[in-house]
Parts: sequence; structure tokens; C-alpha cells
Amino acid sequence: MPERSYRFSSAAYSKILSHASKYSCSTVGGVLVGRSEGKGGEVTYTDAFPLFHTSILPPLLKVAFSLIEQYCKQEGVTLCGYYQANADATTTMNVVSKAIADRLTANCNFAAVFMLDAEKVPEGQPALKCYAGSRGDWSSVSASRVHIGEDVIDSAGEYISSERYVDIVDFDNHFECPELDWTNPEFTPTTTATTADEGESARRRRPRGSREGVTEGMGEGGQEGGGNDGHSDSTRALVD
Amino acid sequence: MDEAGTQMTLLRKLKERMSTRRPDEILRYGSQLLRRYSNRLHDELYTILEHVLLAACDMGHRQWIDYCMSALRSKFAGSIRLRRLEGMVKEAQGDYQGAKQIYQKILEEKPEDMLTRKRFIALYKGQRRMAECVDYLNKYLEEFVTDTEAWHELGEIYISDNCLSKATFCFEELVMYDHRNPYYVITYAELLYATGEYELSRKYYCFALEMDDRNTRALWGILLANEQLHGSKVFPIASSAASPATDKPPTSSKRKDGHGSSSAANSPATQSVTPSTTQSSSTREEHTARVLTKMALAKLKEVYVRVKGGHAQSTLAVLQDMGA
Repeated sequence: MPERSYRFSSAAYSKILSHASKYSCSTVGGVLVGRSEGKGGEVTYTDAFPLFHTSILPPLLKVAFSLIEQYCKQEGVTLCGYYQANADATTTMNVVSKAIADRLTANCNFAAVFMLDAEKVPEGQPALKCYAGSRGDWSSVSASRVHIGEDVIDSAGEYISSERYVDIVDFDNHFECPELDWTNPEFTPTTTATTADEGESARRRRPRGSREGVTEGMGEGGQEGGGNDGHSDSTRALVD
Repeated sequence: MDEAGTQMTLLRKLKERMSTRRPDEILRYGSQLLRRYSNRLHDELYTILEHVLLAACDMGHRQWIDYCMSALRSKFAGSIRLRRLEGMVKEAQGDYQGAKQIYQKILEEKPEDMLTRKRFIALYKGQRRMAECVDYLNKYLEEFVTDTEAWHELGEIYISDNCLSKATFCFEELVMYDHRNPYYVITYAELLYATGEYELSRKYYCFALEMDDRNTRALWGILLANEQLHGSKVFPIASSAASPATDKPPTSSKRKDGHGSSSAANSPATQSVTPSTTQSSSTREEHTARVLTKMALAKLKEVYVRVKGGHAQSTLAVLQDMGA
């Protein structure tokens, strides 16, 4: 097997962490898209599409895959990875992740699987354990071959600390309410994005309401101060 | 907003989330309520304390655990419910042995305590002893056969272990106990699909649509089930290409005529057919499938043309490929 390495964009990594944080009591999973530089070279994951936080069953998975594949065709990217965060915080692949991984390798020979190591998230360490291989045969890949830059970790951490992670949309959310966009444009800083575009995506987000709810509710306390309205701060105010 | 209004808003947000598995939000809203309005919450105070305590256990939030525990202790010291909560705090801290002792003690005094019995399920699960967890759940369900939460838990475990026919059984029970719950019905339909019972799965997808005719999971499900049953020939693109002479539906099948008006184009009711009985039932089934496919495609298209964003565009492209 070639000594392939894997690199994460901040969009992809932020989405993984946000998805896992939003549904911290459930097993969550999603697919990764990107490209490979040359033969056996580095794989760059540019984006992630969160799939589910409830049980993964074949029919919905099939629909989600056909929608994602169509989107990839339009955007010119390749489906080449899968991530999963287990509810019990282990980093082993289960039957479901193996089945999805097998499916990915059918179309992409450099597909890899990344299991979230939740304990490393608060420490600001790269928190993905990588598995590579092929149909039915998956083995773990040394952490030195998974590149998650400090800036990427910082920007993902931003989503958590500012509580923007609650805006992440997966296919469960989407099927419940089709307006919710599983491409999560507000997590993807595109190169062409202008301030006007950002305004647009913020407006589109409005109907969900949760963000305003949080800010509005916290704003009046007057004790938390500034933009950081995390509950950890409120706790400190209470316990101290 | 005035203080009372803020309090009500927070309370509403918290209550909306109490039944969900979103400890982060329960902790966020609950902690604000407790911090700012704890003297005005009256009877609700203790419910909120309990929910915030459990959310804090999930989130590993030591300070809130301590605060809620001491507030609850001062009011309910010695009660079974409080002792059970103490056990749950121990579980959250990884002290499974300590938790087990508390639960066993409670059951010695009150063997019929269902909620304490259920903690053993969580104990096994927390220690990732899944085989014992499944055994315990099965034994528990023999006794408490109407406990939907336990059936659900067992079903979910079976799904994650890929034991789909066992999971199907669990969800069948759930549908039986609460057939107006769209989540149970849809999941049951999806499990039937996953185990190859396409025709039955389609029936349950249709049943879910009776409750909510825009349920996208059900609409997609119908398309997939029909594809499994008849290949692509029940999709408009394929069927319009097929020779009309070999593709005649029987005159009698008008059950679903209300749904797809344009289906008449493919099925002129005036044409007589004289197939044998087996052929007749198979063509009737094909006709039903075609009508349902058309209906599902039209409804999905209707949903997605109104949605903005890249995801809707690619969805419409997929639907178009199917013939919408």
C-alpha cells in the first residue's frame, strides 16, 4: 500500500467537529470529498457532508448518496472519505462504518475512514484516527500521515466556542425539513465569497431561529459580556 | 423583552428540548434559568434541576452536577428518585460499581421499580458490554412488554449491530403500540426495505404519508421500494419509452387514481386486456407502482422547487433523472 497522507481543510474539519458536538449523545457520520494529488500522493479533503445522527439504514443512505454524488458531479469533486464519531467515544470501526467504507472504495481507490477521537478535541489536538484499506480489510494509519493544521484546528474550535456548531445540518435534519441545506454553505468559506455573500447565507439561516434564540436569551443577562455566551461562563458566574 | 418574558422564553426553549437528546442545549437554557430565575420557578424548579443535572452528566460538567445535586439533596434527601440520580452521577463519572450498588440497594427495597431496573441497561451500555445489555433488555421486555423506550433502545442496538431482522421485530412492536408516531412507522418501513420486504415497506411508507403527505423520507422510500420491485420500468422516463402494447394496466385498478392525474396517459382505461390471472395481478401491481412513483416524484419536485440552495438544485437533477 502506498504511504498516502491525508490533509483536512478547515471546512471539512469544522463540519466534523460541529456535527459531533451537536449530537454528542449519538453516533454521527458523514462523507468527505476532495482530491488526490498524483498517484499515491496526498489526499486533500476540501469538504464534508454530514449524513445522520440517528440509526443509519440502507434506504436513506442510498438517497443521501445519490444526492451527494449528483452534487459532487456538479461541483467537480470526488467522494473519497467517511467520518464517524461513535456515541461511546471509541475510535473503532463498526459494521456500519465498514459497510459505508466498502461502498466508497468501489468508486474511489484512495478512500479512507476517519474516526473521531473525542478526547483529543478539548486539548486542541488533531482528533481523527485514520483507517485505510479496501473492501473488508481496514487497518489503522499512523497519525503522522494525517495532517490537520493548527489554523484548521483553531478555526474548528471557533465554531464550538462561539456555539455556531448548532447550525450544522445533516441529512436527518434535511429530510425533516428540506429547506435545511446539507451542504452547510455557512461552514464553507469559498474563495469567491464576498461580504455580500456572507450576508446572504446568514439571512438564509434565519428561519432556523436557534442562533437568535441563544443570543437573545443570553443578551439580557448582562453578566456574560461580549460575544462569548458559552454556558461554561454562566456556570462560573453561578458557582463562584 | 421584560424579565418575565425572558423567563418564559427560556422555559419554553428548555421544555421543547427536554425530550430530545441535546444535552448541550438543555444545559444552556436550563443553566440560564437556574442562574437568573431560580427563586421564581416554583414547582418547576426541581424538574429543571433534574434535567440540567442529567444534561451536565452527559456533558461532563462537574460544576453543574454539584450544584444541581446539592439543591436536590436539600429537598429530597433519601428519596428513591434522588438515590437513582446519585447513581446516574456515578455512572457519568465512570464509577459503574458504585452506581450498581446504589441501584441494587434500591431494588432490594422496591423490586418493582422500573426506572431503576432500566439503569442496568445503561450500566452495561456505558461499559460497552453490549451482549449483556441486549440480554438484559430482552429479559426486561418480557416483564415490561409495553415499555416503548426499551423496545426503541433494543431496536437501535440491533441496527448498530446490523441485526436488521431483529431490529425490525422491535420496531414492529413500536408501531403496534403507537401507530400514529411517524418516526416509528418510517423506521419500520426502512427496516422492512432493508430486509427485502419491499412491498410491505411501501405500504408503511404510504401509511406515513397519510399522516404527513410531504414526508420526504416516505416519498423517497416509495421511489426506492418501487425501483426494487420493478426496476426502472415504473419510472416515467423508462415507461414512456416502453412499448405501449406490452405495458397495459388493467381497467380495474383505479384505487390510486386520485393521486396521479397524468397516469391516464399511460393507461387508457378503454383498452381491454385479457391476461391470465397471474399476469393480471402483476400488471395491476405494476400500475400501482407506477402511480405511486409518479405521485412521489411530483410531490418531491413540488417540495424542492420551492427550496433555495445548491442542495436543492442537485436534488432536482436527481429527480429529473428519474423522470420528474
